[in-house]
Amino acid sequence: MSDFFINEFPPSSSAAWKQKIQFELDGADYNKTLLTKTNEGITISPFYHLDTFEKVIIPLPKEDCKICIKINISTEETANIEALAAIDKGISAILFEASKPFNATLLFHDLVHKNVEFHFKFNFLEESFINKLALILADETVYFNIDIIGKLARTGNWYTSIKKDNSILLNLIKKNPDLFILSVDATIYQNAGANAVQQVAYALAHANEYLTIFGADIAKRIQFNFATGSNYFFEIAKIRAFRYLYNLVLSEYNTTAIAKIYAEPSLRNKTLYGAAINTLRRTAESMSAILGGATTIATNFTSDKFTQNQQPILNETRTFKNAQHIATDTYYIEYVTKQFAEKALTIFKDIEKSGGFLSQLKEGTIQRKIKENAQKEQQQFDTNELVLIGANKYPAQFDSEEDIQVSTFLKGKSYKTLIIPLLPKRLSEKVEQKNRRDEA
Amino acid sequence: MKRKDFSNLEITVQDKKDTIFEHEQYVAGIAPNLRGIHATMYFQIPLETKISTNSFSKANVAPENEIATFLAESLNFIQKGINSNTKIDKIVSELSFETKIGKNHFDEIAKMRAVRMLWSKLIKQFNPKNQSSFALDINATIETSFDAFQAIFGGCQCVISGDKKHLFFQEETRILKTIDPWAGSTYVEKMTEEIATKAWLLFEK
Repeated sequence: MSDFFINEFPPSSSAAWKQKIQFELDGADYNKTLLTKTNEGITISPFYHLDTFEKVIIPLPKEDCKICIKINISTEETANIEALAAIDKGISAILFEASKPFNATLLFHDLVHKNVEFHFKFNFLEESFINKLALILADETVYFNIDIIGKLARTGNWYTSIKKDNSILLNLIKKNPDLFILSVDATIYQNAGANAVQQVAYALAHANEYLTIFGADIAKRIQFNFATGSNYFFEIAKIRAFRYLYNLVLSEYNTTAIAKIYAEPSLRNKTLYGAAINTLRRTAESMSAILGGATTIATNFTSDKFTQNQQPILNETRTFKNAQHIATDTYYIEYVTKQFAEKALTIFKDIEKSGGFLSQLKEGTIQRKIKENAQKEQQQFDTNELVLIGANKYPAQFDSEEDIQVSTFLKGKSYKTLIIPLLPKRLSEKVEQKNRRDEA
Repeated sequence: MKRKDFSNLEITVQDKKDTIFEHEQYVAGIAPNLRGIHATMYFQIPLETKISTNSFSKANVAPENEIATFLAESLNFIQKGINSNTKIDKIVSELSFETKIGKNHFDEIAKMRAVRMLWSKLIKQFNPKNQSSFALDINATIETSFDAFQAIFGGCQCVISGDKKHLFFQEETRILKTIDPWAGSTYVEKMTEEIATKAWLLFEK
């Protein structure tokens, strides 16, 4: 359709467009009316145009994104039944949460050789158990998600001690060099209130602690966990910018990797009431993760809610083939991605210059920076600049069903910690607590 | 291992797209004419929401057929108006694209972008005086809340829905901060081009 328009309309430029906008604004200030400044230090323009196009080249995964369900292992038998049912419904990945070692033969009865990937989330670190599990699942794609630094950031303590944790990790990696033993859990940064640029920078610096210990060989064997918020295009750009920067950092190690990225919906913006709105939030978040190029997305539903809540997400996302390429060359996304990459790299370099992520975590610098942004967001929420519908705007206008996936109110820590832990915090907690008191 | 020194690391930026489509400049560029909306859309004229109690189910019509039918009906309406000596700008102001939003996310986005391009091409031959006559109003009826997502990405003026849940997209996702946010995407531009080309051929027939 080459001459389709050229014959009838003159081509345009961003200057011409801006001029037209100024005419339409009729005296109103362009900068004040149409530019949006974000907590990341990015300015969103009302339009983007080919003549100001810029991008960084993102290394993208080849395979389509897998869709993951979480199963908590209370007994091996029930978890096994839940898993089989989920696979029947078309789930392509399962995350098992365990608080103690389990009987893997029982759990995985009839679950293997089904082309389903397995993820684990243990809140214990036991070398012999993990080695045994690795043996039983030798033919499967498995992500063990061991992240001792993440554990420290989340809880304020090592599993046992830095020395013991490090030595277990070292042994596990030595014994299973081809497996995904390690993960970098960046979900806590989002859930505690870091902005998108901080999350990218912290995930990188966090990963670089492992690269410093284990070297280039480990680069391809780390899974990254991100939590996705509802700022749609920023979330797409967040994952893309991370992919770009991870490879840039790896260039210093003379290696490359297409990062495995597991993304789950953020806790931060979920409201206690209005389960249907939370479903919309999660669906949009899952979509942005898929378009950002995540390799696995988790929808944070337990299997009993699967049919009613997860199905819409599956329906929306199943039609996407090669979804990781859709964002390519989109003016707006490429602009934000490039900005994120630039800004996150600066933060990453600063962290490295001051001794690295672990050292900044021990000093409390990371926690302080996250808290600053979290407080800014909270204030924006309190003044209705940042909206969660059903909470600070249109309260009580949506369904009042309580969302069982949202833990009511998080308590502070009640144990001694080595460092200040990063705690997840929902923006609407305060107002929900107040409403509860008013009802009582 | 000794810590690496990253102080000289820099990002590499390029300003070339993989693919440039002929229509890109027109879809995203001087868009106020061709996309048929104000550049300041959603700032000066906020997205409208209407509650409708009518339920509907999306008929299985291909986007290009829907557009071709709309263009043919519009042309018919315009010719009748001209025959009765009504001015083109007046006739056009009475027309809008009433569409039902389907489940294929990007098809729907591309459909709305394509219909705007073709509308301006159709209107051009009647030499309207008023710039805004090139502008096509799109009213999008949605079946489930999630369909509002594609309707807003496509740039509709009004979402018609059974309830208000879709306000989530306007209030929380920040997708209205920039106009035509998917512009440039090879995938979306290609789909826009395909739908526009097919629809125009069908319309000419």
